[in-house]
Amino acid sequence: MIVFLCVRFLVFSFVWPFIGGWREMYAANDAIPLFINMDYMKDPRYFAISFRRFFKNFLNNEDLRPGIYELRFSKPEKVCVLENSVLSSERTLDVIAYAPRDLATENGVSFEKEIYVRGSAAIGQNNDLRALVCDGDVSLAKNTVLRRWLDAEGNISAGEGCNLGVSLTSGKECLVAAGCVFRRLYGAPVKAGTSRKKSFALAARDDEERVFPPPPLGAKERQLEEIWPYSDTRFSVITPNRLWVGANSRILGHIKTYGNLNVDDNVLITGNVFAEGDIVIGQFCKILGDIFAQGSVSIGEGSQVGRPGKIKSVVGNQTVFLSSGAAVYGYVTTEGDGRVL
Amino acid sequence: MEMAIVLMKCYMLFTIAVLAIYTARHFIFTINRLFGKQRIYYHDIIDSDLRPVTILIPMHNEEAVCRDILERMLLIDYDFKKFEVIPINDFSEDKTKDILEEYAAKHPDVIKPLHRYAGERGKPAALNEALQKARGDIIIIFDADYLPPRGIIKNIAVCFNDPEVGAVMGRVIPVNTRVNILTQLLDLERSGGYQVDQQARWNMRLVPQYGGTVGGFLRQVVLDLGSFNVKMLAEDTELTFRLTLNGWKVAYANRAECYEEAPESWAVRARQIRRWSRGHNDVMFKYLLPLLRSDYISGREKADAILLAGVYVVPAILLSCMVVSMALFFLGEMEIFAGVFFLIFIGVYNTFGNFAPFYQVGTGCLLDGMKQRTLLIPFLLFNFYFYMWYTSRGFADALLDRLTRRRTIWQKTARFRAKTEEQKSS
Repeated sequence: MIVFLCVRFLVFSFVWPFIGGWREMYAANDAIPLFINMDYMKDPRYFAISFRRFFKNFLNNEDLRPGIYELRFSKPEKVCVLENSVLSSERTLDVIAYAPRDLATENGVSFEKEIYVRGSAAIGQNNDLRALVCDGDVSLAKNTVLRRWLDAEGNISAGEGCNLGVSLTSGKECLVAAGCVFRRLYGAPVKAGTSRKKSFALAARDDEERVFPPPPLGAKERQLEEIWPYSDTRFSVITPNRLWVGANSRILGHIKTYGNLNVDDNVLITGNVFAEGDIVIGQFCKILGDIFAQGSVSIGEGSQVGRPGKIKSVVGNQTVFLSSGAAVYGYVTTEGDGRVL
Repeated sequence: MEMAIVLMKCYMLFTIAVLAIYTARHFIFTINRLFGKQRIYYHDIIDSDLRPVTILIPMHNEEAVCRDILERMLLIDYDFKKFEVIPINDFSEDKTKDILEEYAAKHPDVIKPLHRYAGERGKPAALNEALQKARGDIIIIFDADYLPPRGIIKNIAVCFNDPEVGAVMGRVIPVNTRVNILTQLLDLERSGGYQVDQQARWNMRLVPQYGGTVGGFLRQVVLDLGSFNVKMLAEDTELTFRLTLNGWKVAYANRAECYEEAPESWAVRARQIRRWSRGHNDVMFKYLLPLLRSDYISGREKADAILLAGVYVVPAILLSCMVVSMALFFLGEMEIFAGVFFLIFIGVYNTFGNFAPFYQVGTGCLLDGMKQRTLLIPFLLFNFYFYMWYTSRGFADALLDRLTRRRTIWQKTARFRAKTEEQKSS
């Protein structure tokens, strides 16, 4: 009995835990190095670029006649070359759609696969799209639902109440009306609202073309909790708590807060703005750098982030809210809920 | 004799306390990664105004690997007007110099080698000389055996938009996992170390460690701090503490991943771990008190920094405690504590405490989606004893360095890629 117990103890202690390991050591079923995509480069328009490249290989510079063709993605797919530039209402298309010229859809059209439009696209109300690539301008009428992504070389305008899926990217301006929800937006600029007029951020009137040098590395103030209205701050502010920036002040530096950051109206910040909490930017402010919050970001009416010819980002881990007239030159993204107010 | 026995008993209690603290640390990090709030890194920021970057690649007899990394550098996604590569040829005696000159002739605007055949030897001295030559605001360092992906530089450089970040550390992934059991086990350790330990410290706003490669720092900040200390073997750990003490933060970029070549022989690994321990402990001796006194860092950052500083002392403490416990056993003085609560503590520690690092490694594998290789985790038991011995020897080296003020000599880790290629071809 004792011998049996001893053997059992030895087996359970010194043999049993290693059996799986021995097998894995020799069979090496899971010994391939962890995968790193060596060619990965961050590009907000990556999906569209990749799709266009693939589709152009398929087209091979040929003018396809209307009809159904077969295309090999990861699996064989049917491609419908559209004859009419207008799709009638309540129609459902369950194959990849290719429009050699412009495309317009009436209300309630549903696309279950990708669409590639070589001209401009005018999508009717209550349409349901999976993904759309367009070489011209795109307009989405209200309450359109985008399941995955949309990219246009030209301008994009999204009507009220659209669901903009995972990604909406444009080579030009991206105009997003109130009530739209989003995850990622990219444009030059991304504008909230329906007006294409230029933003009237206070600082935009003063400093449109001015280049602000970065503040010296050591120029930092660490204990501020308030920046007074109408003040000029010529250093970066790092605070372990919350920070309130008064109206009409100018900060020629960066901001980092470990609490929430509240920026009142008409404020100019020339650097980047980082917060471990939430960031609330008031009306008609101008932020020339990136905005990044581990919490939420809210950009007030008429405020501007970045400037023409540059790409800057607004990143909110939890939510991003854009008020009407807010403009971001570059990229807006959130892991949670993005919404135009 | 009685006094000695009391001291030995106190030492055992001290060791138990230290081990319990480090066990708790392992569990806190593991639980944070599994269930805690995850703090995002800055990789989602796209910015057309990223600062100029200089890549430094220290090289000493790297003819086997240097072509690979230079080829990778030429594929990097960055504005080449703001990008330069300085391979530092540090007293090489093989064909490294010729290869670097060949690349410099072909790409003079990007690859600008620095040949060193005079002055102080070693990585810190080489880096100091290169810092004087570099033009980038941001310095990113790779070892010569690394294979950086195209997007990694933007991923690392973007974190310096945060005005508080002075250095950033990326993630190292062994490329030669299939070679033998040692490389497989090192892969497990890396997974636990980066995916759980470093990321949890980033999540919890503690002190992620700058590891000296696949990472970067602001050139002006390091110059202002007096460059690298040429007497230090662990110049990377020292930089972590110097930055922390001066109000800068170290960021951790889990998605800035880069392949490295892990040591393929136990002898090489032993030398590496002993050197790390020696260097790290040297840093601990120097910075423990300043860390305790620092006004810049919060209480929990301070606690984490101190535990980080002491991480290479623990094996030496444990090893000496084993000797002490044997002495007490043969002296018949093992009874230190008695009672139900102590028995429960022993039971809990045996069940959870002993396995805390293994849970961490297992969690790392789980997060990386590597399930089969978790079967190898029991073999880390052997590594535990192996590391305990060589880390303790490193601690003894550091102690002697302190006492005798002798000079430390940098020894680079042997490369295996050429051998592997030869093996493949044969």
